[in-house]
Amino acid sequence: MHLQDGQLTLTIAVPALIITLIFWIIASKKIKLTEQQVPMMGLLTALFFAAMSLNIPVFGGVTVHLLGGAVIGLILGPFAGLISMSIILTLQALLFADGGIIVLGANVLNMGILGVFIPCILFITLNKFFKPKIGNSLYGIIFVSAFFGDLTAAIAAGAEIGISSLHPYGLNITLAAVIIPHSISSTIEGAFAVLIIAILLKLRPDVIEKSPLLGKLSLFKNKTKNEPTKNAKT
Amino acid sequence: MKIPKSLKDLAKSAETIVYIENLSNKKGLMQTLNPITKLITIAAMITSTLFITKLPYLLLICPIPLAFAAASQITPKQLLIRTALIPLFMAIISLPLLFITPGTPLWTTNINTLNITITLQGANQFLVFTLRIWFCAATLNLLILSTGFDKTLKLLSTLKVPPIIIHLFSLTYRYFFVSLHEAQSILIAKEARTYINNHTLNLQTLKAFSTILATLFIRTYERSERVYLAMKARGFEINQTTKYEIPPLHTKDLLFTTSIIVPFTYLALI
Repeated sequence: MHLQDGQLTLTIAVPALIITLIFWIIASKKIKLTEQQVPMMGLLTALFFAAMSLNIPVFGGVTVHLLGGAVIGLILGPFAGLISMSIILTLQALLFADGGIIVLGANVLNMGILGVFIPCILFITLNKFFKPKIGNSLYGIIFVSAFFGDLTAAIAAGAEIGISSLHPYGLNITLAAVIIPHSISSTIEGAFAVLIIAILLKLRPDVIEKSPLLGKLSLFKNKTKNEPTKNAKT
Repeated sequence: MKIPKSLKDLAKSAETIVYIENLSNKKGLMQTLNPITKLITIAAMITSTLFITKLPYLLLICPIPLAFAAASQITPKQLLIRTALIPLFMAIISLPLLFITPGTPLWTTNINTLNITITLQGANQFLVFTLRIWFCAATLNLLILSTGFDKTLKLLSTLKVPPIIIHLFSLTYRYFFVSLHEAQSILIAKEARTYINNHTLNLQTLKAFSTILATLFIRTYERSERVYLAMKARGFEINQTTKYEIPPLHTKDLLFTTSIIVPFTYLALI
């Protein structure tokens, strides 16, 4: 999904960079990291960066790797998630040449903004509507959010390539070329997001409770409401 | 025991970074340049290439990254190996262009009743697209191979990136190795205990990898608390800015930038 230099014209790469810069400015103002949160975010970003290097075998020699936008966004929140993804994408470009430097803005727009914000917006909306507790409905919401986040990022990349005059194929071909394979990889991404969050909820619910988005789940709200009553009884 | 691909990939990531650090410490042309000069020049080279549509001009500029690599104690072979994969992938994508682009026939063959023709225009479009991608990848790799991470942080600092973001970059880079090492240890332990070596994706594989990632997440979260205490003990403050001093611009830097930007702008405009 990483776009390379030479694929996009400046008429696409520059507006994408401007949008990204606006989001970076908003995010840097929105997230007020405390001293303790700086190493935490740095270490978690390093973990997600390493997790993206982990290729999972699908069949034959084909492997997939985690995009991570949904998991990062849901755990760290959309703005911290955007910063985290931007650092990862910049390091991927500057260390592994995975994605170009002129198209860095476009890559962050696709994977850092759309790939993080879409799952978060979907999660907030669906959570308000369904108010799920731990179980299939919660995991269903996480799956849908992660699936559409990943797919939207891929569609955006396909659309950018399709409208770029440097790329040989038109929008109809590039969109079809990304939607078909990414429907499969987005399903895997969704399954990963569900499994990771489910395991974390089981092993360390206190960590999830501190998350700006997942901490708003009704199961935590009920817990905080009940706690004073319990204490009052004792 | 067959080493699983996931383990090889993790080792390769760490190996790549060590490899870059080794090359960036050599005393070649690109390594001795000011990082800002390098970034501006490479960005200008890539941007100009986007406007070059004629094949002879692209063929003319393609040896430049290889020459710069050679002058920077990076063998052209090393650069070619590092940049081969992306253009190869792009070549596969653009292969149909050879046959679907209308124009003067270059080569025709009949397979059963199917008439296959490669046109001159198709070949031209295919080569322009693939060579442009290769050139961009090669110049970016030249920047990467000649700039260590320390200089990259200096570059970010000069570009007025907020100190907190530079702190995050620095922490991410350092702890990337720790995360890789930990992921490797868990994977080795998993491989040692797994009787059936199943290398196809199924629910069990998904669960296994998710458990690994969740375990890593918890360990990282717990480690971050210890790292914070250690940082605090060494005097860490959130607004403390680390000064990364960029070497001053020399005549060599200005000459290099001008000698690249002027001809590339000319090629982009004609």
